[in-house]
Amino acid sequence: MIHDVVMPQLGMTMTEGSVAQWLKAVGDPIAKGEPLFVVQTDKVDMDVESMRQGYVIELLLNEQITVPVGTVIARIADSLVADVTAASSMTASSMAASSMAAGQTQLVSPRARRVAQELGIDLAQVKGTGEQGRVREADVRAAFALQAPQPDPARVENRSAPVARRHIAERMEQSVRTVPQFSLRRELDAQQLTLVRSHLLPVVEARDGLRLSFTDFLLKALAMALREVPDLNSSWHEGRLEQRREVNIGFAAQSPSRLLVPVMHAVDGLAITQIARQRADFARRAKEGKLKPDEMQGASCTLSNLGAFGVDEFEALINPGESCILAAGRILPRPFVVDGALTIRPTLKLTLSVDHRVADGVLAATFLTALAKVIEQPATMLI
Amino acid sequence: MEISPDLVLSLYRSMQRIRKFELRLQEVYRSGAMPGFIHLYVGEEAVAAGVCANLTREDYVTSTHRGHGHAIAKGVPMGETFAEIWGKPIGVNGGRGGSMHIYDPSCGFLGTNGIVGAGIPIASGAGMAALLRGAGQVAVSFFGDGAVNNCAFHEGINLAGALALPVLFVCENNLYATETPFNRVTANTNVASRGAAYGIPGIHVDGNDVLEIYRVAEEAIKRARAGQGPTLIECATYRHLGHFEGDPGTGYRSKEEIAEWRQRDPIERLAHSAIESRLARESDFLAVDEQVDAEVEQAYEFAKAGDEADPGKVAEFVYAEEGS
Amino acid sequence: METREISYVDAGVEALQEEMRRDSSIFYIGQGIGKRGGNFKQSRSLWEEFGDLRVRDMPISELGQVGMGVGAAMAGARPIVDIVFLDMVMEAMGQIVEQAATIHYTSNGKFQVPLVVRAAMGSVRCTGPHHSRCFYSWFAHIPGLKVVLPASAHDVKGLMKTAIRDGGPVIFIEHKFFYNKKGPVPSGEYLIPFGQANVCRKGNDVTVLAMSLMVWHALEAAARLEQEGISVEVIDPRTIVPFDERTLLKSVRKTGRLLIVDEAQQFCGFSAEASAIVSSKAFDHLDAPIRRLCALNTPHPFNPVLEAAMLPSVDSIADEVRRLVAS
Repeated sequence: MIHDVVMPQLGMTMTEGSVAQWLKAVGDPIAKGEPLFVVQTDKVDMDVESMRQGYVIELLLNEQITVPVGTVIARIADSLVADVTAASSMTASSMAASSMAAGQTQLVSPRARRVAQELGIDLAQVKGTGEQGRVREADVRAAFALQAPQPDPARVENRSAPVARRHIAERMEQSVRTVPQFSLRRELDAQQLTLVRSHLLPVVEARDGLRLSFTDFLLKALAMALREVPDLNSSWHEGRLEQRREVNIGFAAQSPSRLLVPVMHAVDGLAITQIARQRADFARRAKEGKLKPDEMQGASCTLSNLGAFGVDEFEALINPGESCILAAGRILPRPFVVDGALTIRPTLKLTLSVDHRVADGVLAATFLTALAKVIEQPATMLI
Repeated sequence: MEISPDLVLSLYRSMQRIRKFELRLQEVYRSGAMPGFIHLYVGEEAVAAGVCANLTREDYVTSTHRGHGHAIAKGVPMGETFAEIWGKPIGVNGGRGGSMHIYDPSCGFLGTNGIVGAGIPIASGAGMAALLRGAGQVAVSFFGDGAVNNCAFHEGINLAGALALPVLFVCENNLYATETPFNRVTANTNVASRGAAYGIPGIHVDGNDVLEIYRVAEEAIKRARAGQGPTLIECATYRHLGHFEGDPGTGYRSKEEIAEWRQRDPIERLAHSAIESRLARESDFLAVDEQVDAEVEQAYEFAKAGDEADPGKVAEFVYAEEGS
Repeated sequence: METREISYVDAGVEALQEEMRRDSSIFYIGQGIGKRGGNFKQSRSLWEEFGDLRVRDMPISELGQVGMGVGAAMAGARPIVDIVFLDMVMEAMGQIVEQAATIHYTSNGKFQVPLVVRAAMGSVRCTGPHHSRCFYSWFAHIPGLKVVLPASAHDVKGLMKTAIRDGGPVIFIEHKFFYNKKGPVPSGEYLIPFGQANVCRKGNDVTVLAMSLMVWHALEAAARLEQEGISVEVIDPRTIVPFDERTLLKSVRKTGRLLIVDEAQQFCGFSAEASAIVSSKAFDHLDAPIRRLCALNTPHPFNPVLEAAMLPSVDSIADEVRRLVAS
């Protein structure tokens, strides 16, 4: 028996995807549950496992080509003895659709017609190599292969954008277009924060094997501030303010190639070490492409920390569906005035962008103050 | 041979069963109710009756296109035979065969046949199986003068002779093969003499004398059962009606000839001679007539009441089950 | 099961011996099949073992022999009628077509005719016009008959057993060329069911459906074509009725190209039936028109040069495959 493999529907909003990478070649055996390819969607790269045991007999989609969900992209046979393409159910109308216009006499084998329809190839563009110029299957497949972009590092122009890039682009456009956002800045005294972290770092490392990062503290602080100013734990949706019950915060797990934003749930109830553990787990799975779609949504606020990348401060764009985004720069010793005198303190520059439909300046400022208080007095994270 | 009243009456009954059946069939056919065509045995009843009176249910018979008489004499149920000829599913072969393809294993009836002569080697084959089985069965092949010039006659009888098979070959020589006179197309019209060509006894019999047929057949069958091989019997007889129903039979036969043979009607003949020699009374024969009339009428009613065929069954029985 | 190398004819004899020992209702008749053991030694040793009653020499009466077979089968025996040469079966066609094939159906299932008619077809060393025909398709055209074409020592034994045990008439057609050719045959009991084709060589580019001796030629051609990078799948149907169309269709769906090779003539031959089946049921999988390589539309000449010109050969098969791949 032959089984179709289709572009899967992952998450409610997914309408199309591409194969970032095939993990098997034609003729390879595959076990049930074994990853067959890496799918690329707007949200995530992830492994897609085979539903069946068998042999890969056809790979119908080149890498990086976007197709709608449900498109047949590969075929698996139960055994190589039954090494056969299943009978297609070409209706008369579909045959008519792919046939030549009147007056032209291109010869096309029935098999080539079927394959052309499956791959979306216009037969008029295909040159036939059979007798009397007949178009055969191989000709159609050759035309299909020529369509797909070749992975060529020297070429800069005409490269079809990977799905993820396109989707980020769409969302950011949407953010700018639809969310009236304004931002507030504050430079914080990060001395206490750095002290607490340095105290805890070896302890947590030894006990839990985890490395505490500033991001963990910032997530905790954000969660506490959202509890204190609950109006910001909401989002604007079609003319209504939707208050969330949980405090879910997304954090940008930046890597040189991609931006992924896993969402940590109920952060206010988590201890720092728990936050650290989850963050590490998310980061690892993001790298392996194993994040689930529901781990990518549900946040009211996102933290973007570019401190590790040498950025002092920056302004981030709100993720549509959230009420605010906190952009954190690097903690660096800077000139700071304490009790009227100039001194050197490690400071942290925060930029909070807020959806004006959700909050005005005063509310936003209140929130930022609450946040600053927690960060400058990290002991409050304990209670 | 001892001729008992019982034998006379049973032979009379056998012939009347055939005669009345055929005539009733003719009526129904003429009304247009039946599909296909039929070849009636009227006038030749003595042959079927006389031979089959010596057979058991386990013995085999092959027949011809004019075989209703053989079927009934051998024991195929009358009602189911009527229904089969009528093409009804309640017929002995589900209406699939009709007149010329009547088969009934329950009484060894290996089929009427649309192919002239085909039954001759088939009967030899049944004889072969009987020999293998060793239970003393015999096979009888009925055929007409038309078959004796066919390869099947030559090969089938030679084989039976060469292998000493327990078979009786009965030729119903009614002088015409379809509409062709036998003597017009045959070099040697003495069918019984052909037995010598195969090294088997060939006996000529008055085909309208049922007692004579009975006696000759009895002897031949005894020989066969005893392993002494086959016999060829030529019965000189005549059919009163046409070749098939719809053929008046006068286009190629003179009225005088027909009339002459009708006078030798085997059924009348038996009754007369039995009454004259006081073997039985007229009332005995009338009683049989009444009973047979009732039986035939019942068979007709049975056949008439049968439903039409189910088209869904058309593809059944093309191939036999494995290993059966 | 261990196997040993025995000839095709000996494999057939083994099948007959084993079956006749198993079932005492089986008997074997034919010309010269008794003490002489048959023209091709195809009944060797049977008469010695089973005697006159069950293994009986026959006169040259094909019609009579087959007619007897019909009657004996109806009366409860299991006859095997050996006509030796397929051409001679013509003399018995009436008994095969009008009687054997129809009785089970016409009697509404009341009678069975478990009859095997055995004969050898085809040419070997110029057997000439009256001893070379391959008209097996005529039997296939008659509902009620099964038609078997075993193409190896292994197959002839397994198929012969199935034929004997079948409840209906089976036309069992060997090829004269095969008789003295040896092949591996398992030593235990095995039956090959009807309607199960043999994919005797796997391939991806072209499907070749071949019958009887043509299977061997096709395999040789395929081996040569492999060197040229053409991968040929060879299918031996084994039985024409019942015909395993599933295996053929599967293969054509994979390769998209079909060549049918037949020692019988092309016009109204079995190759036409196979073509019709494939073109209607695998239409969308054909990458090229179906091709047929058959005997020329002539009677069978005696002269070896003429005969060779008339029949498919390993060379002509390879050529046809190449043409098929190019079309």
